[in-house]
Amino acid sequence: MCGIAGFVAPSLHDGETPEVMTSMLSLIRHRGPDEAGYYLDDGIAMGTARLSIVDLALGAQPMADPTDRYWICFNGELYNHIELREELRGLGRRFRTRSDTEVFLQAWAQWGPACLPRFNGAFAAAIRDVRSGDLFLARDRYGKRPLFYVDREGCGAQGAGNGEFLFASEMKAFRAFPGFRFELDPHELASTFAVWTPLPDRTPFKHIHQLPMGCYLTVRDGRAVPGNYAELELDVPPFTGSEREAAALVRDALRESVEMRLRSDVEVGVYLSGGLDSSIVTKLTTDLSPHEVRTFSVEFDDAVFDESSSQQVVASHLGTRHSSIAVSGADIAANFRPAVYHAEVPAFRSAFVPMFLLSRHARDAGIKVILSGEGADEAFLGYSLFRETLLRASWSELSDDERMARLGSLHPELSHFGPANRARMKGLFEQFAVERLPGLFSHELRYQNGRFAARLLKRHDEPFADLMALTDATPGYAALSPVRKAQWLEFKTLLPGYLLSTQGERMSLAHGVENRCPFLDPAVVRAAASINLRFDDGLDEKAILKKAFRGELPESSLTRRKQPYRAPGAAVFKQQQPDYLELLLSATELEKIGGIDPVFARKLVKKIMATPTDEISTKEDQAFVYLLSTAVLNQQFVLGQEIPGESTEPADFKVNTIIDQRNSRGSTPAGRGIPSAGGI
Amino acid sequence: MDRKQYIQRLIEDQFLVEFDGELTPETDLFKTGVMDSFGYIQLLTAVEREFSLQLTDEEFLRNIFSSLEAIDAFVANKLAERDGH
Repeated sequence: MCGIAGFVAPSLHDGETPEVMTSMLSLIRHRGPDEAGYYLDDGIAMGTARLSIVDLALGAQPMADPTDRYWICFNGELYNHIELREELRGLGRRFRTRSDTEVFLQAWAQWGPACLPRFNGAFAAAIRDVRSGDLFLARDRYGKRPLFYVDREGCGAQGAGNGEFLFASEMKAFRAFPGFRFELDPHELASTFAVWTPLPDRTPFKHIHQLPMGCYLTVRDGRAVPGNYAELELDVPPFTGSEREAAALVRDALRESVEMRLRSDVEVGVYLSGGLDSSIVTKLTTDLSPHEVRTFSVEFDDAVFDESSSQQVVASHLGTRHSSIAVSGADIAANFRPAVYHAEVPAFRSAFVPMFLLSRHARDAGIKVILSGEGADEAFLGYSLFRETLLRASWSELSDDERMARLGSLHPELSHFGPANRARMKGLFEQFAVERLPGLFSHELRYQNGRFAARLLKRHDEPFADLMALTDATPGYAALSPVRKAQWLEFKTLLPGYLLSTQGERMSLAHGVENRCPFLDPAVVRAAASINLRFDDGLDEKAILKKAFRGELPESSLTRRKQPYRAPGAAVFKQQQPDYLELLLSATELEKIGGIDPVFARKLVKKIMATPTDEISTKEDQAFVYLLSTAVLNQQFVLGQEIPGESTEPADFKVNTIIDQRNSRGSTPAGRGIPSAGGI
Repeated sequence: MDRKQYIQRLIEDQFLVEFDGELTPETDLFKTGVMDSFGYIQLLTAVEREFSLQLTDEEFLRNIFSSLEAIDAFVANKLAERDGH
């Protein structure tokens, strides 16, 4: 795993460039502690901090193709690199290493942007074309690996020469660029609070964008031009075989996906939550691994959140070497700030902090690569949100008895959905049986909580306006069924914006552990989309997955209701009273957070502090954790204080590879006898 | 504090809102995003407890709890009904 960073900045003084580049990489060195390298040319620099997984010795970066026309900084993995390498060899391309980085580069040289849909992987990459002068960025189709950029008008190639384009795997790297200042963006904060995550191309900071999943960007002549190479395809032709054949298809696709993700020169472990998805991943990993598989999990003191008994059952059933860490409220409070620093965006719950601790535990156990179950709930309709959508969408066709029965099975983990309140819930659901927010029907009940949190901002813009505009502009979205719209929204917001990032990749990479998600393989997602609701009514979550693995997992994994992974929220901070709680308790501190309405924020904090834990509502809890994480981000990123862990000094940071091509070619074009690159 | 003021206070405490120029007794609390599922249940429970009312399933099914005005009118009705007997 790696982190990449770089810039196109013609006005930056030549003498400064190496130092700026080194500092940027140093700020994300947790992502790739093994080695670092960078490439310099006139007005451009890019580099990689690398964690070596495949071809430890020869995978050094930046790497060039044999003609030296293309240079690449690559973060991630191509799981199908072996197959692609064979295909490219057949086309006459010669390879010098076994690394997937070289496969990416050669595929680019061969096919240009048309290579991207061929990739099955998790990646973010930057490619420099020496001949054309272009810089090209791309990101994987599900948004597994991050890529942020800052586009300051024109990159300087046309005219004034003072524009800049910066990019990095994590936004914190921008701090090392001269003149760059972080500033919270109240408009994006409102959208983030409401939707639970930034939109695919957004961040909570002014001037910083994300390259959306499945997209690329070409920086040419001072202009950044975006492109899209992979739409999320949910509306696929329905599976035509029998249910038994469907289960076999799912099993085979997952098996192949796990097999590809076990391609590694280092040991691969599994995060085992105890639920169905991670149990399936563990099962397939034990089947496919020649050695004993190690599994890792989190235990909570609080029985409400703890799943350790399920974890033990699965681990012993499958014969893994299991280890877990016990996470207390004190641990969450003590590690909240460093975890937020790595997350870089406000969070609506604290459940990412235990994952920060778990990746540290895995690293200490000598594990560099982890498989986990993310994506299964989105692909196979595992969330209660999907059942809720089905229920509300068919509300007018159901009898009162049916409504009552289905309400009862929606959220077994939430007491206010219990039998005593069912009639009241029915009254509430009446209010949500027709669409009010165009395109967002499935999420309207959830978004009530988000709307509450959005009131933390002084300006009261419609916080869903940008998301509605996004769905409106998405070809084919309007024609999707309500459940598929719900899936689309999950795939574009909560999955990449929180689960894969704040709770996933960012926490793993904080300790140099790479995460891989077998359920987020294009073939698996496609199979799921063709089979969902074909053989069941969606009321028994992930029915086809259970069928596919019946007899291979402990019965409890197949029959228990999904238990959402949760951790204690506001209660932790109330009980632990960490010193940074002062950021919310002090009126002076609250005033320092740009765009936050101190009156509402104070009211919320006062209520949380005064209310018994079990009477704090979900929306209040979420708004509180949002506010606290935003206050911490403001302190670390905007005010530049209390930055945890790594020093900003690159003194102890070693760069192994430096390619300096500045002024080396004069005005002569660099492509000496280069074969033409098709597709560009 | 009269009945309506009391209900207003319950809503204000539960949802951290204030009835002013923007939020009026007639405002639909669902449409404006004030109501959430947990708060809705808590509010109705508090109303039942405070006014010693027992709401029937049938009553929950009508769209009558969406604004301060509507809740107050409903409570007034129920009280009159009860006191009339």
